[in-house]
Order: sequence, then C-alpha cells, then structure tokens
Amino acid sequence: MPVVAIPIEDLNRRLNTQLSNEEMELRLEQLGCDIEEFTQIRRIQCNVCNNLRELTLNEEMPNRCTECGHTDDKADFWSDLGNEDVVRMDLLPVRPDIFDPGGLSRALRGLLDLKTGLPDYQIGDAQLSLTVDPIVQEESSYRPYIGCAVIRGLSFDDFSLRLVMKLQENLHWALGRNRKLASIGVYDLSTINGPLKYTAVEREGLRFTPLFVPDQQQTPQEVLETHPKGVAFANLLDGYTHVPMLIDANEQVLSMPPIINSHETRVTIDTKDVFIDVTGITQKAVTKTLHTIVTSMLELFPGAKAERVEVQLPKEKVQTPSLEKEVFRFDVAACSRLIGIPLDDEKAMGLLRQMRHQVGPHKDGEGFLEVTVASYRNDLMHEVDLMEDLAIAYGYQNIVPVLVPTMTVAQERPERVIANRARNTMTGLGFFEVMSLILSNAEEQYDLLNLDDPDEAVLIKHPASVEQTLLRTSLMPQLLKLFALNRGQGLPQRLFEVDDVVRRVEGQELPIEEVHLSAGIIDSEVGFADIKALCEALGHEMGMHFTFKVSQHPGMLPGRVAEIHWNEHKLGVMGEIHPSVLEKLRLTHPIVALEIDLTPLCGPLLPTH
Amino acid sequence: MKRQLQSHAYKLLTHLGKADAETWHKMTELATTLDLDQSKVSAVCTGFSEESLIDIQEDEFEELTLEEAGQALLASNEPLLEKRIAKLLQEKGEAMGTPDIAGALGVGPQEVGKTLRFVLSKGYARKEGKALAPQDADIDAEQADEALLRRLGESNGTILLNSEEANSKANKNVLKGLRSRGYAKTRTRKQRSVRLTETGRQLLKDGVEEIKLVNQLTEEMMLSGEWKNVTFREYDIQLDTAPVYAGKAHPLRRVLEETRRAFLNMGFTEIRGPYVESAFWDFDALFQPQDHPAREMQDTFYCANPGTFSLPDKELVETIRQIHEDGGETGSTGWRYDWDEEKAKQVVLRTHTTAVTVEACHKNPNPPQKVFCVGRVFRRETIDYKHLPEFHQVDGIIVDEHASFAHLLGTLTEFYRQMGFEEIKFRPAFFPYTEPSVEVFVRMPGRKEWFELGGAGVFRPEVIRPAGVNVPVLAWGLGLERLAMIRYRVEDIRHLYLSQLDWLKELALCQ
Repeated sequence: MPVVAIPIEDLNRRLNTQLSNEEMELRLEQLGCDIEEFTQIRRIQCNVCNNLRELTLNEEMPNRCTECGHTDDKADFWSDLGNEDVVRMDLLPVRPDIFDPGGLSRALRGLLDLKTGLPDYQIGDAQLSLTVDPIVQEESSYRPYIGCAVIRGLSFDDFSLRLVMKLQENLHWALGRNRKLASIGVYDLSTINGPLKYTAVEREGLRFTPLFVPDQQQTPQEVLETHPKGVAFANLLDGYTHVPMLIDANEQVLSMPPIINSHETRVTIDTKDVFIDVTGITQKAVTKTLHTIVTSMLELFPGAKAERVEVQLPKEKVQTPSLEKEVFRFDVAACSRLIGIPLDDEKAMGLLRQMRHQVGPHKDGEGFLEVTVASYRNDLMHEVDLMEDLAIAYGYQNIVPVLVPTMTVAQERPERVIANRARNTMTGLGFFEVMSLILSNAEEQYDLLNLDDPDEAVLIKHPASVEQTLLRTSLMPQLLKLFALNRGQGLPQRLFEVDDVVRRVEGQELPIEEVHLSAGIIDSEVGFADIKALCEALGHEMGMHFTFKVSQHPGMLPGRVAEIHWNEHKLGVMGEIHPSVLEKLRLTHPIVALEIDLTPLCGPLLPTH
Repeated sequence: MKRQLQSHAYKLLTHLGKADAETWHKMTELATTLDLDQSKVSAVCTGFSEESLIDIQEDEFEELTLEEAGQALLASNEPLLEKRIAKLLQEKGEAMGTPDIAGALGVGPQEVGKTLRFVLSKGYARKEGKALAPQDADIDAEQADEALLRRLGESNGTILLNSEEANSKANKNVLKGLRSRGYAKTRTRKQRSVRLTETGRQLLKDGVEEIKLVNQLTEEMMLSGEWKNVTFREYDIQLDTAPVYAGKAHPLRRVLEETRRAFLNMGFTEIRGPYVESAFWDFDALFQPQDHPAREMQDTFYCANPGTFSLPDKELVETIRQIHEDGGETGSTGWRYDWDEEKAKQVVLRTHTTAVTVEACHKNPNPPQKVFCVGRVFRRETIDYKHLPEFHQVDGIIVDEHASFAHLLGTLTEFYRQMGFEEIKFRPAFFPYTEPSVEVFVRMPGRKEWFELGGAGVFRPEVIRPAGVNVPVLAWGLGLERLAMIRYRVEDIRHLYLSQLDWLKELALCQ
C-alpha cells in the first residue's frame, strides 16, 4: 500500500486551524485514514530535473533520480531542502479524493464543521477542442476513452509541483491500476496549440522528445526500450502494433499515453495554465480519474478555474469534465435503524452536509432527504453508502455498542465435539498437540512414507512455493517431520494433531473433508505394543470398539503394521515407522505412530452434492 | 527422660563418648568415620557447642594437593630423577657430564640441570668440575619428599599437614621443592576439631536415645504398624525437582477454542463450509467485482484440480450477474462491467470464511440467525515472519430484524472482552461486501500499540437481496493467529506452526 506524507503545517494552513497532532489523528482516524506515524521527513531536490523527493530521516541520498534517471554513485546531485513535520498514512484506495492535502482538507473542513455542503466548482465553457481518431478504438492500439480539462490561474512552486506529480502517481495506482485502466497527463497549456488530436501511430511512426531527455528525438519504440518510464510500463503496450499519441495542431507531441509526456510540453514552476488528459480502457475509470484530479487541483490551488474541453468523438461531440453530480433518496428512519443511533431529519442533514453532500427535502416528504453527491465521490453506489458517510460524520466512537437482544441457542458442530474429545484423551495421556499447515506437497505427503501418489489431493494451479502445492490428505507425514524438528528436545516425545484433511473423490465435484487424528511416540525403546495400547485407550474413551487386521504399509516395518477398523469402517493404520523413513528424517530413535479418521463418528462434514 | 537425638547427632555424640576426654577429633575425620555429610557434622557440632556439650578448637593446616607433574610422576612408577641419576653414577662408578647423563637416561639435559641441586642436597653425588661423581649413599632409603608424594598417592591426591609438621625447617624446604617442581601445591586451611565437655559426658551418662528417621512410607510399615514408631525425615522443600509437564492443547488451538466458546456463549450456532470453493461463493456472491485486485492470481490460490465447479441455480446466477453489472433490483448502480460466468466457476482455496457465512445466508435466509465459523483460509503469500499462506479466521453473521451497526460493535466488543481485551477501537474501513464497514483494533492492558485484528460491517443490499434476506445482516471476519501472537508475545508467525516442544511444554495454560 503506498504511503503518503502530508505536511502538518500545510494542512493546518489550508484549514486555517491550529490542530495538535492528537486532534489531527482523531479526525483523520474518524475519516478512516490508516495512520502510520507522526514524524519528520527530509525533502531533497534533484539538481538535474528539479524533482522533489521525500526521505525518512535515516535514509541515505539515493544515487539515482527516479524521474529523470540521472545516476551518480556519489549521490551529490541533490539539494537538501530541510526537514518537515508530517503525518504518514497508508492511502485508502477507495477514497482517492483524499490522497492530497487539497482533497483531504476539503473533507476535514466538513468534519470540523468549518465548511459543509457541496463544494462549488465553477467550470468555464470549452475554448480548446480535441478530436478522437477512431484508430484508438481498434485492436491495434486499444485505448479508446479520453477525457480532458483545462485549469487556469495556477501558481506553482517546487512543492506544489511535486504535490501534483505525487497525486498523479497515486491516482495511477488507485484508479488506474498502475496506468492500465487509466492514466493522466498534465501539460503547460502555453506550449500547445489547439485543436488537439488523440490518435495512434506505428511504433516507429514519428519522433518526439521524451520527458527529461531534452536533446534527443526518439521513436515510441526507442522510448519503450530506453527511457526509465518506457521500460517500466512497456508491458502495457505489449501485443499492439500501434501506440496511442496525443498531438497538437502543429504536430507537437504532448504525450504517448500511458507511458510518457513530451519534454517541450512539461509543467514547470512558471506554468500558469494546464491542459489535462486522462486516457484509458474503461469509461468509468477515465471519468472517475478526471473528476478526481480536476477537483483536487482546484482545492490545491485556491483561485484556479477549471474549463471544459470539447471532445469530438467519432460519433458525437461532448464536453469534459462533466463534473456530473449524483442524486440519492435518503431514508432517515432506515438510517437510524441501520446505524443504531437516534436521528431526525435535521440531525441527518447536518451530518450529511459535514460529509460535503448537498441535502434538501425529498418529494416523498418528511423522513426522506434528497442528497446530491459531488462528482469526485465515486465510491458511492447505494443509499447505504451514504448511511455509512453519516455514521462517519457521527463518529464511530460515539456509537454506543450494544448486544443483540434476540435470544438464540448455541449449537456446536459435531466434528468439533468429537475432535475435542479426542484432544482431551490425548492430552490426558500426556501427549502434546501440534499444528501444521493444511497446505503441503507430494514429496511430504507421499514420498516421505514411501507411498505412491494416489492422485487424490486438491492441486494448486500456481503455487507460491514448492512446499505448498496441494492440500494434505493425511496428517502423519507432517507429524513425523515435527519429530525431526524437535530432535534434541529430549526423549520420550509424544505428539499428536487433530485436524482436517481434504480429498478428491471419484464422481463428486466437491472434495470431501475428514477430521483425522495422528499421534506418535519417539523414544529410545518403543514398539508396536505401545501404539496399540494408545489406540485401545483412545478407542475406549471415544466409545469405539476397534478391531485390528494385519496389514502392510511401505512406510512401516513389515509385521508391525495394523489396520484399524470400527464397525464397517476402515479408519486408519498404526505401526512402527520404517527405518528408511527415519533415515530420511535423520532420526536415530524408533517411532510408533497411528492415524485415524474420526469422521464416521460425526457424519459427513460437508453436504454431498 | 532420656534426651532424644536425631540419628546423626546421636551417632556423633556417642562416638565422642567412646574416646578419652583429652582427644580432639577433627571434624573432617568424623565425617568420614561416621559416614555423614561434612555440612551436617558441622551443623550438629555448632549446635552441641551452643549447648556446651562439646568444645570446638580451630587449627591451621597446610593442605597439600597433588599437581599435574606429580600425578604424572606417580603414574609412571619411576623414582625421582635424582635417584635415577645416583643409580646411574653408582653403576658407572665414575664421574659423568650432564649431557652424558641425559643421554643415558633418555631425558633432556635441561631437566638434568634442574635436578642437580636435589642430587647434591640429598648427598647422592658430588661435583667434580663440571661433571658429577658418584658418592656412597643409601639410595634406596625413602626421602622426606618421596614420603609426602607417596602419602599423596595413597590419599587421593590431598593430605593435611598440621602447622607444626608443615612449618618445621626440614619440611619447609621439602614442600618448597615439591612446589617448585610442580609436583604439588599447598594451601593454608582451617581445620576444626571437637571433644566432649564435662556436660557432654554427663548427658551421655544420663542416657540418650536415637530417633529413627524414615525416608519413605512403605506397605510393610503399614501392615506391621511400624509407622507409629518412626519419624519421617524432613524434606528440604526448597530443593529443585526434575520438571514434569502436563500434556496440552496447542497454544493456537487454545485461542481457536476460546473463540468458539465466546460465540457459543453468546448463543451462536457453529457452521462449516468447504476449504475449496467456487469463486462464485468466495467473491461474486459477496459483490466483489471480477477485476478486483484480491481476485488476481497473485493473491488467491486457484486450483488446477478440481479446476471448475458448477454454479448454483440459473436464477441466482442471473441475479448476481445483474447486481454486478447494474445493481439489478437492489437500488445500487452496480460495478458497471460485463460479468463473466466462467470466472465465477473457477475453483479457489477460500480466501475468507465469509464465503461460508454468505452461503449460510443463502441456505437459511429466515431471521433470526446467529451463526459463526472458525476455520482456515488461504492467501497466496510468501512465507515470512509476518505472513503465512494460510491462517485461521472467525467469521460470523447476525441476521435479525432489529440488528444495527451498534449491535455489531457491541458483539465485537463482547467477543474481545471474552478473549481478554478490554480496550477496543473502531475505525471506518472499506470492504466490497459491507456498508457501513469497520476495522477493529485492540490493545493489551498496559501496552501502547493498537493491533488491527479484523474487519466487520453490515452486508450490502447487493449481497443479501439475492439470498432473499430483507433484514440487516451483521458480519465480521477476524484473524486469530494475530490474536494468539499478541497473547503469547510471539513475534514470528511461523513459530505458531513449528510446534517446538520446549515452547509447548513451558507455555502455561493460564497464559
């Protein structure tokens, strides 16, 4: 999860407050922020590209700038801009509207009751237009959706420039799925001439100057192979013959989405007006991303004004951003019941406004509200989402926890009762319970005990490790491994495990599950009689009259193996572990062990379809 | 009445009574003679002396202890080197130079050099220029240093010399010689001796009686009634004993069982669901969009065999499709994408036990219901100190007409209270299937940091409507390994599955 460091002083200045860290923490947590710590960070700036970076206090200066790719082992190309008090938080993927100090202060203003209701974003009519070439909808370079905006009247410094870049990066992560679903470009408006064109070109189709490589004209393919950003995101264009390209009226390239902007159109601290584009492969992601970046920038730069862009699609003409608001009907009584707090229309209105919604009476009359939600809150899908918003404004800490008054009678699962009975028997006999993972592998499950793989285990398609490739079908192998692990812990050792195994069976879709018991003893002298005595004791306590049949098991000494039967069920096996198995485990003392299926005592664990 | 004495005190006093009044008895010797512990003799004597039954006298002694070179000499059974030199000279009958002597005896010339002064002082030879000439001497007679070495050999390497003996002019030099040759070392020690006083003698005359001390009650004593005549030896109750341990359930199991107990206490019914689930129940029925990162191969174990499961009845599948695509009849906007039935058929190792509770909701939609499930869940994690690819969760739901978010917070508070956490904190959270949603944090008494233990919320309409439920459904999924780690102060999650026997033995049930 990416972490964002919000400067406390900057946040207080935007809010026009003097909140202490404690008050700040309380409010941020009320909003759902996952605070890591209040700390100091050190800001440094790349002397080559003016890129700002944040370091923790004990972090060394990096020898490479991730933005322009400048590398120097002495790492002396950075200027130290000093330390700053910040609050470090994990980003909330579902609330990209509070990723930056602008959006965050917008939300906090409401919570603190400083400014409530819908933020009023004035948006001017389009002066700039853009044409979408139908080629971007074709398979050769599929990235069909685009939304644009212009923002005028900005005043950048290094810090605010950095904020916008950081916001862009974080939106790429949260809404764009690392630029796959949507990606953002921001350009200095004064460097481009409308009308613009969104098109696609062949990989060697033209040459342009990628960001921070001012003296080099490259083809798209060269950028993908050599530029740090090109290399990082080249996989997004895998399989396409063409690459998307944003070009102005003078054939000046703005960017090659979703990879890189051109150097000439980049935003600098002298930029006053910007052009923004969001391209992507779903309309929803593109719209969400555009609305989030535009409104957050309007919050970051008070006094700035947004302006629409006319987008000429192959079949229609639209103006973006729509900044379309959504309207919900809100049932106050239902909310009061759902959250479990006392609520009337007026109280509900106040709380919803604190969450920056517009609230008015609803045509259905008293007890209902009409709630208008800003375009940047794209996490709201249903009335219940607004009810949660209300609960957040109310404060989870102010909700009185109570128990459900309805009387119900407890009931345990039968296999848990049986497992616990077996567990009590074993601990009463002085055995120690062990626990191991259900995930196992064929070598452990079968090879260890010289068994052939019966091909009945549930297999994992793409294991994360060779140790975990299937679900275990028996407990004994892992129990034996734990004896090996406990080598040197003295003798005798008496261990057992009671837990589940899973098995595929012929003619049934759902694998069956069984609850097994495996127990073993390692000692300087231990033999078949010991494990049989244990088995009998267990049978006695569990109310099972076991019978035994001579048997064979490749992992046990011939002539010292027995099958365990109860009624018509073959429940398991016991015996002296074969020396060849002990050798694999590098154990030098004899082990006796048993494994019993307890499922017949409690009936099938899962319904059989 | 006769004075009663414990066995060892009786032995000691009567032993002293057998000797004449003037004889002093060394305590060390008493211990050997009477076969008692030195410390016991000392304690009894101190007690007797306080009663003026005996006098105690303290003498200084030199303790002579054999050292390595001395041990080697005794072990070799050879006489001292000076004696071998004397013998050689007498056999040769003429003067010999040091190198020749060394050569003839097979020792280093330096050693011969060091031994010269003993050869001379014992009168075994005389000097003739640089050579040694034989001299008429009784070389078979035992010398003082040889006598001491012999005594050392006879008494386990340590003998005591009283200060008179040790400080006589002759012995002083002998001891110095033994020390300088590394044969033995001396140390000044105090030795206490005792003898009876008149009072002591009188007591013996009046008669003393031995109390019989018994170590162990036996069946014979019971049958014969002898137990009435004996006194049982007092046990030193502070002495360490060899540890024994109670057989125990695994510490993590204890947490799982307490968790079950807590929900059973609150009237919940326990349920079970399969480890191997269709993506339909694990994700789709929970309104988790099909492009959600948690559903990716990177985070979820998909199965190769079985590879697909059939879906439930068509009507339900269609309802779920609509809800994902546009919200269906739930009043939701839905996720606005094309839902793919094939993705729902994929088989996964359940990523949460919420798959079990939501399925239970479908099977039995009629309120009131309170059910829970404790079980293992799987995430595609690489194993490290924080992560395992499987762990335990408790999931629960309350389906109740009167249930509210406040009841959810109440249930969670009560659960953690029963698990021993008095401090609990709630924070808004996001899960695709609940709204409102909350994350739960607990704090150990007296500790600063909060631990996030799980998520909870009220199932969204998009989740419960397809099940035919129209009342609130409170739901939670809480991690249990983490709770066990906090309780047992385990820093590394892997430790929970290593089952190290010393840990299993030592960790008390009360912890």
